[in-house]
Amino acid sequence: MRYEFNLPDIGEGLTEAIVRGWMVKVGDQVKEDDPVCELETDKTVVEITSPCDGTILALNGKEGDVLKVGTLLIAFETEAVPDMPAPHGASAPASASAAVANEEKAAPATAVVSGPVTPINADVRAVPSTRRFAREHGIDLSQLAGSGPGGRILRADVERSLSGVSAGGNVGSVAQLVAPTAIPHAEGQQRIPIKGLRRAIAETMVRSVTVIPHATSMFRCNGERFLTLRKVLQEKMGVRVSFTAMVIKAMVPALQRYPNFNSSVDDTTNEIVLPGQINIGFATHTDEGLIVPVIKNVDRKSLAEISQDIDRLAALARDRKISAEDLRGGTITLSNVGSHGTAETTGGRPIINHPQSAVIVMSRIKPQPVVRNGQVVAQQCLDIGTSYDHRIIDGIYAALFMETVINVIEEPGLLLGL
Amino acid sequence: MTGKSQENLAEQIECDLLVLGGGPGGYSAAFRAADLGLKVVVVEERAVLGGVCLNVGCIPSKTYLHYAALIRAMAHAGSAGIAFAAPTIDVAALRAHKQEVVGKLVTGLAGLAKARGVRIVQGRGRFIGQRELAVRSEEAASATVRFKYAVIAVGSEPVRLPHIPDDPRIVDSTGALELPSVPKRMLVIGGGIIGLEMATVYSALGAQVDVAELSDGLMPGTDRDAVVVWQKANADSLGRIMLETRVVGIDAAAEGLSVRFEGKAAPLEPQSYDLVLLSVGRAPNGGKVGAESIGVMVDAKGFIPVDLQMRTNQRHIFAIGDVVGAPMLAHKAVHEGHVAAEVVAGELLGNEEWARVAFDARIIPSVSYTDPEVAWVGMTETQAKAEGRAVDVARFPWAASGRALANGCENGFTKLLLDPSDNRVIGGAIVGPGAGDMIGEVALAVEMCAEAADLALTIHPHPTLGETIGLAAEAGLGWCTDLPPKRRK
Repeated sequence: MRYEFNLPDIGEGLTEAIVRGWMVKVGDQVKEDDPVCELETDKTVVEITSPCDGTILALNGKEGDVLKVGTLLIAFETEAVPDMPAPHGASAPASASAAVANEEKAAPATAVVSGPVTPINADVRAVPSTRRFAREHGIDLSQLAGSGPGGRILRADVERSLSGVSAGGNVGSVAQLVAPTAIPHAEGQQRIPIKGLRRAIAETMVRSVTVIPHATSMFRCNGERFLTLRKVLQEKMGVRVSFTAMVIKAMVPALQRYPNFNSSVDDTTNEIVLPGQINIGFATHTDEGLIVPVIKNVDRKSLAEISQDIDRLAALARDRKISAEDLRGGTITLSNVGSHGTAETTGGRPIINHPQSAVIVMSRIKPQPVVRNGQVVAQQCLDIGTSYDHRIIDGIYAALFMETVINVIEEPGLLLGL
Repeated sequence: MTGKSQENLAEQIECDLLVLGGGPGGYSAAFRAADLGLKVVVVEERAVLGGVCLNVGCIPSKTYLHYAALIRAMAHAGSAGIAFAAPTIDVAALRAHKQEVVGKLVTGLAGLAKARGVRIVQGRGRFIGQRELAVRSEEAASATVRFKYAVIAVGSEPVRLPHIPDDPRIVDSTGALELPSVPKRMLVIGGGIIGLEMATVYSALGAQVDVAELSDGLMPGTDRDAVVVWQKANADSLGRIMLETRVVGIDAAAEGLSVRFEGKAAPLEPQSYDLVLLSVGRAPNGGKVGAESIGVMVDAKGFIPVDLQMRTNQRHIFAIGDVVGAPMLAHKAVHEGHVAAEVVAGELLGNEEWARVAFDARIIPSVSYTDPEVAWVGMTETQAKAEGRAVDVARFPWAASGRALANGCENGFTKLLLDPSDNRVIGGAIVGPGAGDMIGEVALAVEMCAEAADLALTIHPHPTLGETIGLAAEAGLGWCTDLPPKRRK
């Protein structure tokens, strides 16, 4: 019998994917778990395997097509319809619904996005007609403050949210705070759609600078001990570690002492959320854009393990094969801008990886003029700085945090004691 | 799968939306979908629409209950100086009248379907493909329906107990509503709403009715204070009410059904009855339509899990009504049917707003159409206690209601449950005639996030039973001048 396999929910709230390539064609016989196609999402490339034994009747989409989760992907002829997962109940991620096209043609479905079907929390004060109005327009009532009696959310509150003006203190839809601007078409122009990973980065950046008041502090410290230590580790232990790994390790005592640097702000509840784990992301450049793989539980890992993780995850990221699990859960990010090119950066304002509360930026260890005993001498220096969320971190704590990190960089032996 | 040759003979019907089941949920979904512009086919195994509710449920039982209440009222009129002789009851005529009521409604439904161009195919449906349903029928020709979307609305049926034998004198609610005759002695197994409604009907018609209930209380789900009022009001008209008691066996003999009991209130000797009603719950029909064979998840009990849009794990297949879960009430099915229809129409016609609709009702009222009626909605005191949640109870006893006294129903009460932090109405219960008609106002108050003052400051007409809702709200706020003063501390 004919079985229609829809684009499954890949997780992470992703609602669509781009067809990168098919490994099968119409008429092929496949077995369950045979790879059938490759899809590209905002963050990574996913391989889809066959859900059943059978014959391919139809494939939906050409390379480069964008498909929404839930639309037809492959039609099979099969005797054994696979076990399907339960429908999403209370915590359904965004799923798109599709107009069902003619079954015989594998035409891309016209998509009507229906948004997440989560229940409206019983504490939300809104009358039935308002609840329905919000649903119809994809507005999450729990994000709004109500101007009605007893905090009731009125239809007017929902309407205002639709037009981008927020009621009460919440930042409603971030992207709608400023009306979009069109660039007029002109001769000789080239237009490249912002999609996939690029779009995901763009949205995170906008959200970050809109929601988080960034303050920045830059420091210069003595990198000589780090240089020596790296050589020693290579000689004595046969381990090649990167400066990125060493700084990550150096950050741990500071993160434990100043947990606000390892936290997130929950805008909906006005709470600082301390995750109870130290998961450090490190910015990695790939051909398609910036990806931040996360090393989990850094405090429990050795320098060698951290370095190996960096190598492994960076390679996966560059090949666009990194898993969603390795991209989530980060509590703070480190960006090493020193590894590229020859031009030396003298500073900058790094953007925090929302919803984290801080980002650390470091550059290459290189000789710089410093004053020692009244004399100008050349010293191997590591420039390191931070942008931090000034809602919850004040300048003095930023300074104390960085001082703790720098103390370890300048005297790594402190890790034995701290 | 079905034989190919059979399918070749079957008519092939194409549609946008297939609705499997023509009960209140099914026809509501079908008609709404048709109103929104879809081509709809309903597959229904009965020769008429209306499902259980219309044919062998809500409507027949409420018809009989109306007359049961009338008979009881006549019996009590003697205290006002109007003495009625015991009525002569023509069971056949009463049954025919019930059938006439049902008949009017099913004819009306057929007309509504025709006016909307909704095609009704009679027979039992079974899914044979992701977008294909085979319909088989004794009376009509078979058919295959090819659809883009489907709504499964196949309802439920009375639970059978394996140790209860087959005998024409042992009936379920469907059989009881056939009203073959008025037995001398009747046993109702199951003290829930259906059982007690049937007990009300049969005892009014002259039967002596005993009730056996497994749990320690009648009408599970209702607060005990309401049940107590009902029990007292029915103490004289019912026989034995045996709580924490089960039936262990029934011996069917020519002269009667000999029932053996076990439990707290069980009689030591077997009791003899002429009619036994088994009303111990209803089981969903989800496992009977081949849904699993096309990948729709059906649980071990026969329920079909759905999300808030009534969607099953197969994106193009929806399910509504009894088959998706409790409470098994027609009004829940109707609202779910509307949601499913709107989502399907939204997807097929590219309407984003309809496609996002979901079942957001917070509360569903329940009513026992007994005499007195018992109706409740939202939070109950029992539930609040179980959750450890603080509630204020605002009560108005009908003994203080002029209209209740005039009508002779002063044993009733109206109560509202309020959230102590802001006096929001979060639930309510009413016991008395017309409770079912009044509970809607409380439901509205809860959905509108109203507080007690909103009810108290809305002028209700006097003298009515309905004004007790406003008066209960006043009582909760300490404003009520129809009750004794609150003691000053």
